[in-house]
Amino acid sequence: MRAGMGAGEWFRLINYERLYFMIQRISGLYMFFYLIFYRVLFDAFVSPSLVSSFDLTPAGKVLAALFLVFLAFHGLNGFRIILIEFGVIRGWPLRDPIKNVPGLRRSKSHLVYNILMIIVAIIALIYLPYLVAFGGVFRP
Amino acid sequence: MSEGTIRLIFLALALYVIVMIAVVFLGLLPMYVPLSEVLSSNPITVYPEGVAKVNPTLKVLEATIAAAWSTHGILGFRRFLSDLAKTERAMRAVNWLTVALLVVLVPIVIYAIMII
Repeated sequence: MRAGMGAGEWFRLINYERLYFMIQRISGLYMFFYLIFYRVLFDAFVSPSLVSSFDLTPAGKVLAALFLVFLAFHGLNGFRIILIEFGVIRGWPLRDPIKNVPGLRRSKSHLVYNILMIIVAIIALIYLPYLVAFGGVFRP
Repeated sequence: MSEGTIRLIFLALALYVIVMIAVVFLGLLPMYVPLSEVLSSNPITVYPEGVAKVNPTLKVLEATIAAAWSTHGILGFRRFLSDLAKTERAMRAVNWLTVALLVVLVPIVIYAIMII
């Protein structure tokens, strides 16, 4: 297996762990730039009214919906990674006996979390863009 | 600082952000406004401006979340850049850039939350 492909490594899809990894990286980058440069620097220091009015345009809503969907996936998958690294979900690599591909981490708790994660991610994919498009402005 | 320590800080900050955002949305906000209103509003308008308007004291909590979130983001950006760095010298530059971003952006983010 070739290594050291730089960013090209992200797109080498082999199994669902690699797919999660790719989405995790892309969503992290998107959220970093969206939050730091758009929501914080531009909103707080350049023109809050311009940001508020742009948020109401279709383009602003698409960016916000994308941010929220990415946030949901990034959080769910990040929590899975934390559970694995802290030893809560104890998985072990299961290798294909013939194909030379990286082993998938398998355990019952990991499988259950994966299923829950996919269900919540699908709900978030529908509910969060709906809220951005049709949800009211929060005025306490 | 070792890579293991950086990773531990990275994950601990992520955990803090995940837990505290859930606490703010599902625990603290419903003490002031009905949960149904929180869950039917555009989330972009709830956090951080809406939370700060509900109770200005919550801004301090929001600032800690924002500081943790931005630090996690900058450390994540370091991971992205380290995928591109192919030499020791490039990695040193990435580390310096990370320190510079932490020193500049984290106080700005806290300030931006506090002036809402």
